[in-house]
Amino acid sequence: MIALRDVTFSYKKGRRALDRISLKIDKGEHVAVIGPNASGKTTLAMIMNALLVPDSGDCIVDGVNTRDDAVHARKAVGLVFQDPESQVVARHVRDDVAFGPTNLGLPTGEVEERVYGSLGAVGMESLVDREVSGLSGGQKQLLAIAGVLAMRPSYIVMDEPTSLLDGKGKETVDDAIAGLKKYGIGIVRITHDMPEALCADRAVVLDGGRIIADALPEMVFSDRALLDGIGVEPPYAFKLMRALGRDILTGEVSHICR
Amino acid sequence: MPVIATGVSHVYRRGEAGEARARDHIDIVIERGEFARIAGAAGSGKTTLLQSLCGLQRPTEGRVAIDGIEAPKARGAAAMAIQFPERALFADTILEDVAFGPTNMGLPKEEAELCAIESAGAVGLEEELLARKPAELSHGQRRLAALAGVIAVKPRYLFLDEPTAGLDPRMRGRVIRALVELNRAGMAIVVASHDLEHFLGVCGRLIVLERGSIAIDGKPDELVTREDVESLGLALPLSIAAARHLSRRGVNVPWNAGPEELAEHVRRMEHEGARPG
Amino acid sequence: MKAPARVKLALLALLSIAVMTFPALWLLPMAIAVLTFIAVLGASPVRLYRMLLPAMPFIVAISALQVFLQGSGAVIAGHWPISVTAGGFTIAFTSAARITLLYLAGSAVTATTGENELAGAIEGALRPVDRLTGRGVGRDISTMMVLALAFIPMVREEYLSIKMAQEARGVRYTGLIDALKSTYAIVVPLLYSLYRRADDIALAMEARCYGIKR
Repeated sequence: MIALRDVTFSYKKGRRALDRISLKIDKGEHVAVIGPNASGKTTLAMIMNALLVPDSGDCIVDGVNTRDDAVHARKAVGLVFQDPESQVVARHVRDDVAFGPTNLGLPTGEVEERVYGSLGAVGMESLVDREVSGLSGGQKQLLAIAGVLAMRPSYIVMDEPTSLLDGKGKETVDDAIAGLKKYGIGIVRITHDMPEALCADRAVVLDGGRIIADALPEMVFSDRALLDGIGVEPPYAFKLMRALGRDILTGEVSHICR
Repeated sequence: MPVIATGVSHVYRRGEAGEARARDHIDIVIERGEFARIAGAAGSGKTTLLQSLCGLQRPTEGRVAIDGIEAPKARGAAAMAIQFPERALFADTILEDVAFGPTNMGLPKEEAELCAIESAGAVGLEEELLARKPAELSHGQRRLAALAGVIAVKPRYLFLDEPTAGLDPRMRGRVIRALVELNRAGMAIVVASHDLEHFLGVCGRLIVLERGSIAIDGKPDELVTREDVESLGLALPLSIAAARHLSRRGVNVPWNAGPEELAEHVRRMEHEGARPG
Repeated sequence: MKAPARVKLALLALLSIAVMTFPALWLLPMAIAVLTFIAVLGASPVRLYRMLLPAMPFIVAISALQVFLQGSGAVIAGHWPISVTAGGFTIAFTSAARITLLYLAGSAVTATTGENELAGAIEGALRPVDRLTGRGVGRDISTMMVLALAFIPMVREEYLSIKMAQEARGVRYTGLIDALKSTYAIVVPLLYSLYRRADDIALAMEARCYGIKR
């Protein structure tokens, strides 16, 4: 479990990015984090992965405080960033995915195994010897996910993984993420895409560094005042559900939540 | 006197794989005051088409004429905002950056700055931000500033490549509203975007490219009726996907049906025994 | 040739020293040595040619400078120290040849060796330095190399896109003032975005546990 207790964090400029955040993420959960820009979402992601350590409060990953052992958190919590281009560290797919495990000091044989394993998990084994520059945006993002998976994390935090992708790319990445659930990995997904948030187990709403909601997506989308406050419209799918008076979508629309 | 592209095609090298034809002899007419959207999967040639239409790139074959003048020479009549235009902000202040275009067109400083202030207002950029440095603005504000810079030359035709990419919902709304306002004031707007959902209610004309040629050129409701839409690689918004589904079962729903209307139809269908399965 | 990267790098080092220090008379045998090296490595000539092209302007520029600044023999034109001499041409040609051979040999190695392999070899070679200084300099240098390689095509793309954006705003290159202003309008955003990219990549690397084994 990732547990944030009263976490506060400010950047050097003095802007308080996170203000007494308390949050719990369990393994196997799929949590969506939404909120306007500059609400602290990216900072939250970096705190979970111990790239940043809270000024006050604690972030505890599987029982270990990130202040005491940041490396433990980095191994357990993978982080995928928004821009697929900014995560590439090598020219070939194989080398990029191998980056993480190599950093962990694993023997070559194990690294090989993990490279194939994670590429397989995102459906890209056939591209193992390709050059990264030849991949599409969606594929590059999948590459980033594979690179993180190769470190065998218990949780993956994704910072708007599909916002810079086109329709096809979004689909590709969404499919892959849905597939991760079966590995029991806890997924935290920061997103601006409301339909995506609808598919999560839980929706956490951030605004101005504070958590203003943490509930089922349906409940969050029902709160008109809340949504207006952050400038968000509930997704069409949700409105349709409401109009039909149902809790779950069936039929032609059920395919959006695989 | 619109933008007329005749027989335009573009061939470009794609690395070592040899030549790839980005567009295949396209004929397009963009009328004054239109609001059109070009959609298509990645690699379908949206960006290159846009660049040719506004005169930034010379097509390999064919000609582009903007209001009767051969494209490259028709400076100022057409303007384009590339993807992530905020990456090109460079001046010391936003005002200076937005005034860059008019200055290059030959306007003296005061006039150029007036143009800049006007443009900033036209896109809804707050006036107090004009004196700040680009680095001090938020990402979304920088996007608006870059757009203001593009329209500062008062073009009659504005081409935008993915203007809402990477923006949060609030900022997206602001950009779309700004574009609608500009269109209302007479500017023809052509947007290349894979973001079907958000531009659907706003564009009168939808052009879909597929591997270099035009697959659809008409009203959005063609998305509901045409057979081959799935093969075009578009991410259809839910309302359209649902409308398609229903129309296949003989229930005609408009492409822009609201959730209540759609729900009505679904309920009626279920009532009549045909389950929406 | 599937030789370990260490061997390739060692050969490259020897070749490089030879190419740069041997007298001009040895140019032909050195060229043959380099070409053999390339052939044995199995590098594709077409690819090497393409890699060489962007460097050509620089090689030509440097050699041209040498024509003017270095000389021996009868002066053909100009006046010391900026003069053109017959000897100057020879020196310029030789230096251009040396740089080209060096470049080709180096490119052949990078074209036929995987990044991580190269990086590993450099790291291995620098390990004694690491032991002396006690810091992971070797791994850092090899990683820098790998990243630089990945970065270069990105820089070019970014440059082209910024250039296009500014051209769309009527930037012109005629006249000195305009050209300078245009350069400023392209270089400033380019540098800014490069710094940002570099920062982002550094973060991504840290997130993937780079440097934890020190």
